[in-house]
Amino acid sequence: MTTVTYQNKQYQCGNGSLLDSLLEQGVSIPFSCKSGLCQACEMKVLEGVVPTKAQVGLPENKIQAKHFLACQCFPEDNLVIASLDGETQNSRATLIDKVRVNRSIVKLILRPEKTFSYLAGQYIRLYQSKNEFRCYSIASNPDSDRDIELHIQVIANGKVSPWLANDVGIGEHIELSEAMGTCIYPDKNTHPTLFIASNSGLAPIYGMLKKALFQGDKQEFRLYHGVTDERDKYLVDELTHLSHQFENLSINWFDYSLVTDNKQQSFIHFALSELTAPQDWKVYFCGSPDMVSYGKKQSFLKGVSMKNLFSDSFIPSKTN
Amino acid sequence: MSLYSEIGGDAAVSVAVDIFYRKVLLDDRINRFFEGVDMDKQAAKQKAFLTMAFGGPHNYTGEDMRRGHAHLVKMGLNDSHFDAVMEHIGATLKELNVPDHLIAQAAAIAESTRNDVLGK
Ligand SMILES: Cc1cc2nc3c(=O)[nH]c(=O)nc-3n(C[C@H](O)[C@H](O)[C@H](O)COP(=O)(O)OP(=O)(O)OC[C@H]3O[C@@H](n4cnc5c(N)ncnc54)[C@H](O)[C@@H]3O)c2cc1C
Ligand code: HEM
Ligand code: FES
Repeated sequence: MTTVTYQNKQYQCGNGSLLDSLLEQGVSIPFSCKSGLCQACEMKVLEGVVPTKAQVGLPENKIQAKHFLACQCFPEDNLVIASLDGETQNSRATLIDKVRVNRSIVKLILRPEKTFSYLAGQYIRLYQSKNEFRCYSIASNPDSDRDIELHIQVIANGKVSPWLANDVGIGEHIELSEAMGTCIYPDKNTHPTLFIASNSGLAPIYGMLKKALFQGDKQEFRLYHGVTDERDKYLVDELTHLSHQFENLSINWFDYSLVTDNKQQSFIHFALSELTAPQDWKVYFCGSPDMVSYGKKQSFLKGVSMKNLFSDSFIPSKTN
Repeated sequence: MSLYSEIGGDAAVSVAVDIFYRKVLLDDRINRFFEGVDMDKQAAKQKAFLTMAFGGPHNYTGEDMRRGHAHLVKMGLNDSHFDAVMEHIGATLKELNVPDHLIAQAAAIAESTRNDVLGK
């Protein structure tokens, strides 16, 4: 048992995370993923030391400023903590275009009100209201695009994705967090690179792929896009065009509906089947959590180095 | 010079983690203990694990080792599993061409945690 002091009140923290302990004791803390991804539960420690695991994924300046993620914090010491009220760097953007690209995905184009900086492959929190928000990955290339492109897969009984698809109109303002995430494509890379996406997992991969090709990287790139059904393919013309323009790019689609079971596994085996010399390759996985975790394990066992594996797992919100 | 720096320090441990953890995941005697743990989080833990076995800087106490493996002991973790892990540590270092006398030192450090890891 440790004691955590927050806003001059003391709370006991047992086996669960600091976030869960505070929520159970009636404290209101913003959160969504409970997985260390959305960073909504970011707080600051004033006294005591948080385990280093509670700072994984935060940028260096925030680690220096003693910020940490409450959902990843299992305190070992007594702590005094504070919220970041007033310190968060949310900004606003205007919805300037909205296109339904197929039966399941809507493409949004947002124009930030002030300069918005991000790295290829990062994601943002997008707010429906103060306490209802979700993560979406940026599909634009920071080197050339000033607007933010998002690909939203519409979840039938979801809260935020149907709202974005149906209710937000062109010209309306939307609140966004700063960009975050460590699944990014760097300014310099000479490793051949395999991109594996399921459904709207193509969003961050499209952003990274454009960066790679347009900055002139000459090594081999392979993209595998798994979709629920033929009708869920999108960006087919754009990707085909890129593969004609850049001969170091090849593209493959995988239709989950053509296999009866173990769909994610079949997709991964297909995508890894031609990976010879795996120790040289970087591999990116974005999309469904099952696909991502299975894919990472299989590519590691095949010989890809742990440091060359990158992923964004589209974990659903835990707020429902 | 410490064993850790003789083996090659942080850089060597990073390479060793790949080889070691791949062996562990492929070994049906023990891989069930590692199932269901996220790869990214495992990577950091495996690194802590090997750094410790190589006598590198860490701040785990015997008590931490006990607590950290207690749920595995409940799952049936015993000497035979510990021996399998020792095998993989040795084989990993051999693959990295670490000289035998250093392998023996690393094995002795890992061996010294046996009672704590197994909760004896
Ligand atoms: C780092 C990160 C990046 C992300 N990037 C994107 C992105 O670029 N594009 C994108 O479309 N989504 C992305 N997501 C997922 C997104 O954040 C939301 O989870 C998703 O839009 C559903 O939100 P919702 O409010 O519509 O549904 P909710 O109200 O959160 O969920 C409603 C119900 O549907 C279930 N559910 C949620 N998602 C799925 C699913 N995929 N399949 C089946 N059932 C589901 C929930 O468990 C719940 O029972 C990302 C998630 C993370 C963590
Ligand atoms: C050889 C001596 C061993 C040493 C020095 C050692 C060291 C460690 C260390 C430092 C951690 C990380 C703890 C943390 O940061 O959370 C860890 C975790 C772990 N160890 Fe060991 N360990 C040893 C033996 C074993 C054995 C024999 C097994 C099983 C066959 C095992 C399975 C695990 C697992 C599964 C975890 C992750 C626990 C979790 O996250 O649930 N270890 N070990
Ligand atoms: S990072 Fe803690 S709730 Fe998402």
